[in-house]
Amino acid sequence: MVRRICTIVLIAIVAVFLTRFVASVVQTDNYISQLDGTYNNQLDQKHIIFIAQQVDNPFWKQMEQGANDSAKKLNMDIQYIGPSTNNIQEQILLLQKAIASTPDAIIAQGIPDPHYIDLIAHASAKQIPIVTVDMDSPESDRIAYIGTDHQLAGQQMGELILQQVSDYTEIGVIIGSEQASNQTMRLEAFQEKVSAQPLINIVDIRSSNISKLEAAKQTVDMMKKNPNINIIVGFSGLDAIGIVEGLQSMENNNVTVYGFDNLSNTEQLLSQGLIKASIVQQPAQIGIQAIETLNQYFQHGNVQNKQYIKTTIVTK
Amino acid sequence: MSTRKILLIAFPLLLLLNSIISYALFQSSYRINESYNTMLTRVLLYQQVDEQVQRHVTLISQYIDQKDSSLLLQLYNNEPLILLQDQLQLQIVDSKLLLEVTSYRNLLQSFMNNEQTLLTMLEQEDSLAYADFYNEIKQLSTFISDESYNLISKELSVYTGLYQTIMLEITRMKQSGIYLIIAFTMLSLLLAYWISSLITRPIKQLVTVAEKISHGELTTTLPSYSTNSEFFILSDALEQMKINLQKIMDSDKEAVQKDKQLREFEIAVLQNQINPHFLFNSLNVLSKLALIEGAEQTSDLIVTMSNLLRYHLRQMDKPVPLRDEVKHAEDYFHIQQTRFRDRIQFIMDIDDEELTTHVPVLTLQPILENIFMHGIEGMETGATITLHIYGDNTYTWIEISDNGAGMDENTRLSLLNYDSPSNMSPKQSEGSTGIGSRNVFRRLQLLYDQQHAVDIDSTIGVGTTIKLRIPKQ
Repeated sequence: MVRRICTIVLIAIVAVFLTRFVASVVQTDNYISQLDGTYNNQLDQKHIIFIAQQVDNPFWKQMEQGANDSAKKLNMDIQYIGPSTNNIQEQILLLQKAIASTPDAIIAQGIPDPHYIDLIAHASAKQIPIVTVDMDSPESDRIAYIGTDHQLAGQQMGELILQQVSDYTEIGVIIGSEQASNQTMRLEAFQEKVSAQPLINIVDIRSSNISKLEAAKQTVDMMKKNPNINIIVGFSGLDAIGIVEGLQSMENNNVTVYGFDNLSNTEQLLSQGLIKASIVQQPAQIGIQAIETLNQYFQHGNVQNKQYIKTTIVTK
Repeated sequence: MSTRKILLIAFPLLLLLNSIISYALFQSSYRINESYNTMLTRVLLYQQVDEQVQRHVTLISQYIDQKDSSLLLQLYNNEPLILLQDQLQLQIVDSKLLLEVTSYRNLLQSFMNNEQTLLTMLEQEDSLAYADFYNEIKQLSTFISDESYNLISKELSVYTGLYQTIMLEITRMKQSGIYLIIAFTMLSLLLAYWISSLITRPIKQLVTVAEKISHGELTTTLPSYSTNSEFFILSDALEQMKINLQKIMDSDKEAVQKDKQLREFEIAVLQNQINPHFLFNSLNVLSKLALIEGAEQTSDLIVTMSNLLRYHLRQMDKPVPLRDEVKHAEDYFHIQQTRFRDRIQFIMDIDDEELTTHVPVLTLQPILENIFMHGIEGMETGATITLHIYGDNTYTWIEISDNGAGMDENTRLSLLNYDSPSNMSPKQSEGSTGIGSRNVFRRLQLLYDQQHAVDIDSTIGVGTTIKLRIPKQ
């Protein structure tokens, strides 16, 4: 009897270890098959190269997400690249590389640089359609521009300020980059709008190089030089957040902050009242529409030249 | 389940299990090696492409510098690069890297296209038109270099990531493998012990039982085995043998019992042949009468006769001292002498010490009677009967000799053949009151079994000696 029990117990133990062993073996095999990779040799979807302005920027990440969602449905595959910091030269180089990689299409920002425009022409000659997003190069051979109407956005910002202001106000401005046409367009439109009101005075304009940290630093410096500033406007996505951080480091609660886009903790700051209002673009929608435009182009060949994506004003 | 079936199942199973484990271990290690090889091949490919591309660019630069046409020849000999390109095209790629590899392939193609054009232009010595192409090709080579490095590090990171996981899993596999082997070994040992005891235990049991039976313990019960076991038949057979043995012994006992009873009846019958009281009373009266009538000798004889008869009617089963027997033999002879007078002579040579030995009742007299009837009846004169009693520490010997007719061999053997009870020769049954020598011998045997002995020495016309050996108590 004892012997029987012993045998059964031992058999059970052996079975347990055997199962674990076999499980390990099977698992190892699984992992190894992953190493082998799926038996892919050629790409059977359309190859799209997407060049962001800055590879880790949340605005561009959102755009990539939207583009990816759309691409999956339309049998396209997106290769997402971009410089690690805001660097126009690198963007130009990346476009050159992208063209040499002969994809089916390229999505990139428009840049007002003659070499860049040449490259777009080169691509067009090689039958590679280019769609510009966020910023346009209207003189180039790009097949379409999808993005915000920056002029309108600047005017919207101006109107926002005009609504708030009733007295003499000094305004500080942080823009993302002085070379970026989307920024300059916004600023110009804004300045034009605001100039209608003589009480408003734009006293300082700084560049943040689309870095939050830089925006904060510039804010601090600006406030030191112009302590009477009541309002600071940030024109590129992370600027408003950077401005708030800068003001917080100075423990200054008297300045109203306006900004663009809804990135990382913009919403949180809005709800806390640290940002008064933000003009929000729809980067995801831009991404989606860019892909849809390309799809339209592959199928039929004619697309709408300028596609403006609406912005919304978001407050607390 | 029979032992054989168990063995036939357990053994192959254990072997199979062993093989599975060995195979699994081997396969895993082989597969890992294979995957490592695949990864290395890819990495090597990227590195080689870069190397070749750089080489071409260097050659082009050198040519532009030196205008050495042999350089140009080397450039046209771009088989290695083409081979690499083919390899790259056919390469199986991890799906995560497919986009990048596609771009990479196209970059290489752009490079090669550009190179073609550049070489043509260089050959034509088309002044500075090649300059743009040259710059572009340098740019492309930089791109290719960057991408080669990028792809290599991506491949390695993909591999390393999974490699860690795989190594972890392998360690776990090794662990369970070791535990499995230990448990498996213990199981095998237990099974080996168990299965072997399936054979040795029944054998031991059956041996024990057989031993017991051979020693006469027929009450042992045999262990039972399942009808499938090979030992069932053995055990069954042994059981049957035991039962049969028991039956035989029982019937033997019965036979012996019957025998004893028969003998008892025979004796009882013999004893009751004479109604004692009447006889003795009559003899008493006769003796008194004879005395009254003055016949002393007659009275004497009658008393002797009475003693004789009384002695005859004693309890047959109790042994008596030899002294009593001798006295009885003397009485008998005394009576016979009245008939035969001086025709017979009775010589006694008796060692007194032996007279305490116990013998069955009526041992000597029947033999004497036999002698009177068959031995010396025909003799006119000089018949002598000798009674010689002697002995040592162990035995008493009684020799009764006569110088009579003797007996032939057949008779002698038949007398000595007193083992079988109911085998009375016709001559014997002629005896008057005698119960016969055979009866005497037989009773001796019953009382003393192996320790007694009977011997008859006889020559026709010379005489007979009957020798009895009685063990001392």
